[in-house]
Amino acid sequence: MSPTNDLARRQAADWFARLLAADASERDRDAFERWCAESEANADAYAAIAADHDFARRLADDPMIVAATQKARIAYAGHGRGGRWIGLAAAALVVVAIGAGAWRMVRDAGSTETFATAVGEQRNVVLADGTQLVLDTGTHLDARIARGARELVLREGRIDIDVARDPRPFSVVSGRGVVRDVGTRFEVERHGEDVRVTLLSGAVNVSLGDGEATLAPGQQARFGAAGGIVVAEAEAIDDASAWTKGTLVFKQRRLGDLIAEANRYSTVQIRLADTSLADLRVSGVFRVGDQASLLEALRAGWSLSTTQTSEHEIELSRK
Amino acid sequence: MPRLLTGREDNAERFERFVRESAPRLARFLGRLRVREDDIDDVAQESFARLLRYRDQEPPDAWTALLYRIAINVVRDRARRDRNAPVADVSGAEPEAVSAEASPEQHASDLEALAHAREAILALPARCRAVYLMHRVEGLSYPEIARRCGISTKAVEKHMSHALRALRDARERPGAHAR
Repeated sequence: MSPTNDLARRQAADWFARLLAADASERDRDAFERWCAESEANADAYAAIAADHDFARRLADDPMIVAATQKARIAYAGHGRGGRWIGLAAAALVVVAIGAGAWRMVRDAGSTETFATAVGEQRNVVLADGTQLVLDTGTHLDARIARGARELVLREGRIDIDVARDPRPFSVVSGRGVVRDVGTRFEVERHGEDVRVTLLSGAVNVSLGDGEATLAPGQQARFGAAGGIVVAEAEAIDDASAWTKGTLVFKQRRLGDLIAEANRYSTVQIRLADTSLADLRVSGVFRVGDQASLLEALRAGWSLSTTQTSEHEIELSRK
Repeated sequence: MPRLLTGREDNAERFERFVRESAPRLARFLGRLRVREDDIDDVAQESFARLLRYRDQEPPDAWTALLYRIAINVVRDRARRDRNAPVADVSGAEPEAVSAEASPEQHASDLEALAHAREAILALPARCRAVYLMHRVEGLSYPEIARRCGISTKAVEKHMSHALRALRDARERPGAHAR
């Protein structure tokens, strides 16, 4: 960005903030108008800043923004009222399903709903078209069922999707990729930019800007921030979707993977004292979110010992 | 989230008064933007018509700032129409209404833009974020925000400016705030 534009932007933001004040004076307005008339760049910078502010209004019902606003309200309750924030844990605490409120402007294009689950929470959702979703722990999802299309945007977490029969195309946007479906059940999991798509039945097409893959049942596609799509056979399908019934099924899998998976459901994190432990092979069926039983099983079955090292951490080590 | 607005009737009256009082100033502004004398009435009328859409969405205090933006957009739109040129994007400026016929791709990019805006807001320093959210989400005035945060109204304004710039940066350089 050129220094001129940067300056115009800074001044535009200052002007917009000034004009939003109830006490903006006639002199302020006069000075602003002169600045605006000075160059097209100034006027455009102002219009862009104002447009962004307008755009941000659509976030008013966004769960993360609602949570941050509540936090701010508590933290800054006013002078002398002792309004110190005492630990609303995380934004993830707030679980909200919003209606069309934030999307008045695009009502005709279908309403968008946002769904989020807290750490350790799972939730069933039925969309307007009858599609059934299971949201796993720490998931954040936008869903739009419009006249001509059905679309989900997975921002984080994992969803199991049972697509309702409907002539409208169904797609899931996640990271760099788009998954298009033709009447099936599949799962999409996203952590940061890493995305995994597992097909349980039917057929789906996964596409990135520069490549695509069609999955057969039992196959899994992976892609990240860079590179192409890697397709592999998924673990036994029943196991892959076991989490939707509240269980984690592990057959001769790495302990490191199991712990990573279990940690997603809890604010108390399990840490391996010794990195060599990560490669230990474990099998078993564990209840999602039942950390105590998991630790009990590891102590009894794999001769490991556990130490609570802090409020939010448990260390796992060899006996 | 409830927004602090006066009742609908009150608001309609207030809007009418705002239009009456702002008309001369708007005409002066349009003159400064070198809108031709003959066109000023038309442009002003179109600007107020567009502003009406925001009447119940934005607090009256925000109408002036909004009207300037709308006027700039109307002037640009007309210039484009007159040149009969294909519509070019004005430095990422948002159209004032999203087309009902937006394609899934457009919509997806809209959702991505929202995600970037969200990240930009959440990445702001705590007090700046609080100020912006109190204004944008709760619709509080600068003096009320100042009271809650225990800072001056001038400081509120500075935080607002900073937040607005961060939003613009996020829009133009998505990923700047991505984790």
